[in-house]
Amino acid sequence: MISNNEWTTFISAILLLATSVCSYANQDIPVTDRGHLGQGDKEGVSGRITDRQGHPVAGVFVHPRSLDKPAPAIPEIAIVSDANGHYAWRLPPGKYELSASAIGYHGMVKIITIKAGQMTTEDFILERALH
Amino acid sequence: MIANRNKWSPVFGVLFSLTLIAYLPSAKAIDDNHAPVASDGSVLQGSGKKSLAASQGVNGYAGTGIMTRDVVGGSQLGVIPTREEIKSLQPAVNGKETGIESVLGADTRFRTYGNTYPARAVALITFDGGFCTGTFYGSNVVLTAGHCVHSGGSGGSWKTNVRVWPGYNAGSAPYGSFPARTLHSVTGWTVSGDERFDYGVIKLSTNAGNTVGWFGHFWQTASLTGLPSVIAGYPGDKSPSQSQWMSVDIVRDTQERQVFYKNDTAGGMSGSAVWHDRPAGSSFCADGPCIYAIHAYGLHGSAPHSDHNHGTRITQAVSNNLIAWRDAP
Repeated sequence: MISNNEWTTFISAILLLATSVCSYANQDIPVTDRGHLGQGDKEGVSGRITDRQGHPVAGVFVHPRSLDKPAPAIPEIAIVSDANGHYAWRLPPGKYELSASAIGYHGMVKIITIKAGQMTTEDFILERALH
Repeated sequence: MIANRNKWSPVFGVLFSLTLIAYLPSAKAIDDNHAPVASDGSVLQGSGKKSLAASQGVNGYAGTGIMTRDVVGGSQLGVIPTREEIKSLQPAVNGKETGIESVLGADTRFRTYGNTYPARAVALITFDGGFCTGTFYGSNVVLTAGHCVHSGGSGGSWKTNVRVWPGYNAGSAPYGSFPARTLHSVTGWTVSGDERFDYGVIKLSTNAGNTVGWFGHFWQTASLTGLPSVIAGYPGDKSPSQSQWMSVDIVRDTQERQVFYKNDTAGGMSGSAVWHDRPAGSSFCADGPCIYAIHAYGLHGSAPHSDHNHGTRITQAVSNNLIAWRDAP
């Protein structure tokens, strides 16, 4: 014979097991903390980097730093300007400090805001560093 | 009592069903997340799934250092710490717990030069618009982050004009460069954009790894916390540009699919191997650099993501994929 107390204990154990399994399973469902990823190329910032004379500057390291808390995940990829001075970053909406730096030039930092579903344009004009 | 049992039977049935319903789709999602995909649409047989037998570790190889006709034909044309010196390196002691971006406290990185093993098995990866780091783990296969081969998520795309430059050093390419033949990742990254599945592979047409060597890799179910963490790659914030730098720390936290540490990193280090030197005589991945994670992210979100740099852990499923990609034609 099984007493009511034993039944209660048994049911509690089953419920606890079910809760634990569900909880574990939920942790394995892919998270939504995907930053800019999976949102297509429609959000982010792009632009052109030139010198004072309007010549494109290639190889400029363009780096975003989120000013939001909590900050979104930004892959540690290096984005650099191409031969025409163009660069592009896929980023989630938010506020960023965007820096552009290259050997032989003074670095420059801008504060930008990226809105949902929009590509922001941000150009840089770098000054040559005098040595 | 029989009546009581009958009374509770439907409850058990419902609970059992709910448990199955909650668990089964997630279990499927795990396998699906590790489903391999390729830039050329090819289908890879025998990988990812936990049911497949796989070695717990694969040894590295120092390479010949000799440029064979095969390597030269595929190519377009310092001083590295010895393995003993790397072993004796002390973990970074950070001046403070939170730093600027991914350099946590004092910058402890030091420059390495890629003409000897293992530095020459570390490669600069270039593509249209940027660069990353990768590490040879076989004769014609390079391990990197998923976001270095695919921008991630269902709206993402494969990187274009991908090239691998082993041992590259600030304008000097001692072994030339090699175009990617195919790019590989998993659906957990290319469809879901899930950072826990952020890993990828570049297959080459030439066996450059026979010359530059390759790292071993391993997985273990036990925590990795406390193991030395060595990371070498190409941080974009360092001068001269595209020079190779190394950072040493220890694993500070281990999760099921991610590893957390305080090695100093920066944009461009993505895809760097996170490794330690396993001793001779080990039952797997013996006597050489052995990868257990792939660096991918700096600080973001909440702890431990917000106070540790971190990367994708090599689990058994990841290891199975790596081996299948390595062995694929």
